[in-house]
Amino acid sequence: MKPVLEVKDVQKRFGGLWALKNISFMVGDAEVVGLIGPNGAGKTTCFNVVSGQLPPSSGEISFDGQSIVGLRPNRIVRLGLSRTFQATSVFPAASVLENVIRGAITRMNVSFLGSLLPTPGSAEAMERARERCMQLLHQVGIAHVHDHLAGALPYGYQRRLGVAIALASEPKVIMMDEPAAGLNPEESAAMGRLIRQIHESGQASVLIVEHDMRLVMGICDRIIVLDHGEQIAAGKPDEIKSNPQVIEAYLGAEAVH
Amino acid sequence: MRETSMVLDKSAPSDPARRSWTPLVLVIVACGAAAFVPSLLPNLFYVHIANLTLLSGIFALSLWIIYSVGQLSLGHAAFAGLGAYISALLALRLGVPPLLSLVISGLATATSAALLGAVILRLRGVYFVLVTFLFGQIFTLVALNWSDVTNGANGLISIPPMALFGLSFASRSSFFYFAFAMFILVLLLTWALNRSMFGRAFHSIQQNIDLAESCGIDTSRFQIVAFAIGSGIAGVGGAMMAHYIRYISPDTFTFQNSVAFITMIVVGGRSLYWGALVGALFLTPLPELLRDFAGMQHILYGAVMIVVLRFLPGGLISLASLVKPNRG
Repeated sequence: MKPVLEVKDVQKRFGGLWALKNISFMVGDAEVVGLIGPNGAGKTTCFNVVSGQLPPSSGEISFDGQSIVGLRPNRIVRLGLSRTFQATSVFPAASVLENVIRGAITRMNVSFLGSLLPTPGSAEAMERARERCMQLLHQVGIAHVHDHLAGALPYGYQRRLGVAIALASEPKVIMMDEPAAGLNPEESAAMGRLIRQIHESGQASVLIVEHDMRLVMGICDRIIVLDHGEQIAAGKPDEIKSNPQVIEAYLGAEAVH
Repeated sequence: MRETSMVLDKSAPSDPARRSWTPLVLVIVACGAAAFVPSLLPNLFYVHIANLTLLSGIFALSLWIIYSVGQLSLGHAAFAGLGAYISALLALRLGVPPLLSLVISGLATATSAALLGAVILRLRGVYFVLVTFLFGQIFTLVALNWSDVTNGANGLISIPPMALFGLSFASRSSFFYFAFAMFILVLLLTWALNRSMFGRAFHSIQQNIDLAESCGIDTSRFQIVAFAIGSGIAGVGGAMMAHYIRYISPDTFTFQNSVAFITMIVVGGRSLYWGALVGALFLTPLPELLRDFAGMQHILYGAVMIVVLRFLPGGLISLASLVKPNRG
């Protein structure tokens, strides 16, 4: 498998606290990788380092064979690595469709200066972008509310809209920070199907951070387990389920309940 | 997230600012009406108020451009003052024709805003507000103390009037046409910016800067661009003021003026650029209209503002949606 995203020996220190210690993993072409671990294991820090929000203290991160350490998040997105946020994150005062169009802004064939004076060419490019964004809304299942204000959508819909916005930038890898957080079991299952479908249609590889074990075990090809900033295991869901270290650190605690 | 399901059935007015051409029609109507304004007003004092209102409109609109990337500048009057001093000094000391000095001062102000913006790039929210406030204070101090150039507290006098291809805009009535033309230019620029990809990027940043960055929008760059455009226009407005009043001093562009411009945006309505316009149109002549209540003038001015904000938190432009709710 060809690696698209490669993380090598990444460390992140906040003062005296090692939030990440020697993290190494890769996400290949067309796979779903899960990043799990108990609270405070460093999953979200790992996400923020990879997406450029936080600089790593040391280590190497490459995307498509190119180092992305030190690039601002917007550059990393343009290379094809997009992300969704843990909480709902939409543009509340814009329509749902406009939200997705904003996600597609870097892939539109419209020049900024040219758009000051609308030309037939830019109108046509705009129309194409609009159509493509509508397709994305169909894909995530909220096309029927495309003209509603994003801020007025119910929680579950906002989560789906977040995915559509991230897909609009035509990523090679999409990173999802707890896509099922706050969703009920049915919504969570639907989100799982959506993630599988993104992957199976060859649209993008997926890297997810998730607490919902059923979701992770059900949809991931491979799983990486973090605990106290360290990578304690990596492998297929079945291997992870039976890994004693993982059971001790994470699943064991859950199995008690 | 409050009341989400309740408002769900109400569809969004799909970005009216972006698609509607009505502003353009209104502008053409306004141009027609403006031709008669100076001759219709009872005396020159009213023409003067009209001119000041147009200048306020330019300042408020340009401040709105900065606000549209989620930044609040407390140094807007200082940038206007910078433009005014540059243009006045070019005209007085070097004999540069006022129109050219106007252009130069706009570019120079925009450049200094871009430089300041690049330095304070990572300052969000209250820190940005503080730095722009300090910039305003520094401007006032420099204008006061660098007397060799600025003539200190005495200010600069006998600034040549605005002239365009031999046409002089020295009188109040003739300046009205120049100010109106410039105002319309700024309005059209704001309108075009707002409906272009710039507007799309600006509003994304204002509504959710982290998500905007994740959409691949270079948020720092666009914040600097908006800050430079807005401050540059303020510089041009300040220069116009200098060639109109023909006298400027450090007192002409103070912190109070910056606050007044912010008040215009808030009272008019922050959500659309029309709000800035309405605010300038409402608040600039207001003290003059209250002149009959000598002594009470400023109290009434404050009271009117409180009443507007109490009952119309969205500003005066929200009156429109009260009149015709549910346009979707």
